[in-house]
Amino acid sequence: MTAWVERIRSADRHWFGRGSYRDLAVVRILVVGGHLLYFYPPLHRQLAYAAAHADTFLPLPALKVLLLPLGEWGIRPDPTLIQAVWLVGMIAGIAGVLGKYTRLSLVIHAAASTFLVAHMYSYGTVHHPYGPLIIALWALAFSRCGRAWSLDELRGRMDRALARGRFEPLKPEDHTGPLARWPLLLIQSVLAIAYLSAGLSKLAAGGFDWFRSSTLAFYLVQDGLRQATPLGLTVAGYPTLLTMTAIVVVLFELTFVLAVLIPRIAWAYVLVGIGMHVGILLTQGAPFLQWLLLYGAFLPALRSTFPVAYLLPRLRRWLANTSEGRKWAVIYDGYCPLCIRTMVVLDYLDAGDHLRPLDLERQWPEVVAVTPSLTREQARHAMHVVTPAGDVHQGFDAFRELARAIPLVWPLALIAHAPFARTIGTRIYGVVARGRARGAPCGVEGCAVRLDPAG
Amino acid sequence: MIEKAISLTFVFGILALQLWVIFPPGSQSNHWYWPFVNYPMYSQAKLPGEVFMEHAIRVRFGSEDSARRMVQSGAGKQDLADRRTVSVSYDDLRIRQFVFYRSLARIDSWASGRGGWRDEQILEEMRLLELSISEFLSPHDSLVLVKRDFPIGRRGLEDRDPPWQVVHAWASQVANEAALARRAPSQ
Repeated sequence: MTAWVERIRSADRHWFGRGSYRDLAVVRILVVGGHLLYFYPPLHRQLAYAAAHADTFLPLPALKVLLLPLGEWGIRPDPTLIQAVWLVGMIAGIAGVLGKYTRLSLVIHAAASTFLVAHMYSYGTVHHPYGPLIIALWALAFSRCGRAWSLDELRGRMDRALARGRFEPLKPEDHTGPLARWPLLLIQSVLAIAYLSAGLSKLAAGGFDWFRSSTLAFYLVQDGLRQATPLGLTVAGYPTLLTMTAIVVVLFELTFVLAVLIPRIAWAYVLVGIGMHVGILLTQGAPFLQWLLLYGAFLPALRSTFPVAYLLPRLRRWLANTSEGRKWAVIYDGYCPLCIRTMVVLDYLDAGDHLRPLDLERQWPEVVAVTPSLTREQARHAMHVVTPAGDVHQGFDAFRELARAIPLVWPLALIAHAPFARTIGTRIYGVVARGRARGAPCGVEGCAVRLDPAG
Repeated sequence: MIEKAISLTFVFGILALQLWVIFPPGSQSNHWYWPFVNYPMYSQAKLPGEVFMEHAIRVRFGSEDSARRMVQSGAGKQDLADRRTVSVSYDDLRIRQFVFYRSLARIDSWASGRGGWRDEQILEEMRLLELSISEFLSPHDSLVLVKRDFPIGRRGLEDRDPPWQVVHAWASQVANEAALARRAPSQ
């Protein structure tokens, strides 16, 4: 009895222990974004199916269920409905990637994607690549994947900062919670069951004869001819390679569950899986690339194991051209709502923790320690940035420097260094800075004091 | 706590359904539970000396004009040697690839006396093949199922361009049905 209780507790810790919402959010962006870019069913194909003869329409139960609110059981969707669903699903997907009304957007996107793929499969045959992807979209829709890297979260942080009247940098624990792990583990597990099914089917239907080179040779020739993939026809002529590949493939499929249970070996399965699916695509023309997208669910496991754990921090430091302990000091006006909002956004985008925010009203001694020559009055009139080398930039130049320091906004750095950008940017900055409101917390230094443009 | 309970139910439900559909392993894919499906693709073993049969379908029109009309509409490829014949793909017939090849293989089995297919099943397969191109077909036109055999040896394909053989030809069912329907009111 005690052993069972301990097992249940262990499973609870595994599925509902603290995990990173940022990892979950990255998977949201990867899976939904990748789906929209590459796998969202094309509208012209949907309309072609809608134009096919009525006798070829054999609706899947999933489609019937989704269409039930619109009419009787098993009705055929008309082209207008298909276009509407496609468009709404696309818009909801984009909102889901950006994290705007994340849960609602993802539920709509998952429902629209289920509808479109089920419609596509209601004309005689069901293909396998979409199944796990659709399940993953629903898992993300039910999860808290909007808790990080989303407009929803950014808006929430801004509102809270303005309500408090001060900016507080993100703390690592802000992005962890007990509901961050289960969606990723669920996606991993669905993949593991799918691979297990493929491996067991080969053993059950083919037995040991499946490992004969003739089996893979036949399938390579069949698909090489049907899909016009000459590489498949060539590889079919190497029997030893085929037998070895067959053994590796079945072993991979039967043991993929180990990648879920032992995260430190997941990277090996991910690498073999990528190789296998790319190989299948090149030799047989069968695109199972949706599954590669779902490998994103192994991101936390990959990040904490060799070789990624070794290379990633070094790559980050190299990209940001800095090292541990050396940061860009950002001196801002903590009594100015616009500055607080700006700091929330900068802090949000600073995934590599390269910035050191300093509130000139509340942390003046630290500001003086960083840049002794700066006066309080100067600091109140423009944002200042002190680089790790000790150079001081202010106003538009400070933003330009920050755009260089934060990898996520590098595209803005390009624009900020374009011809005339400095002249125009400095003027715009001056107008905005002079027009901003400034209010100290009530009862301390007064409320909503407007900044005097004359200084 | 409530959210955790909902998440737990969701996880259990998904995993239970996904596990349920994969057993017994090796059975045919059952699409009724989609998106929960099993994965039996390519699970049959193939022994040395296996032959891959490639099937194709051609439409033999009564006149060159009819063939040209269909090709000009964007469907099929006209045979340069016999301009009354048009090769059609699964895309031209608006049929999914695997349904198309499965259908042709069934007609082949039936025509060769293999597979135990009933005549009415095969007639329905043939009729479905014609549906999307029915506007081009007349009672004088016929559909021809052809195939070629690719023997697979130890070193892969032994012959990359074997000759096509006619398996079965049939007069357009849909066109004949339409002609009968047109005639019926006057009788």
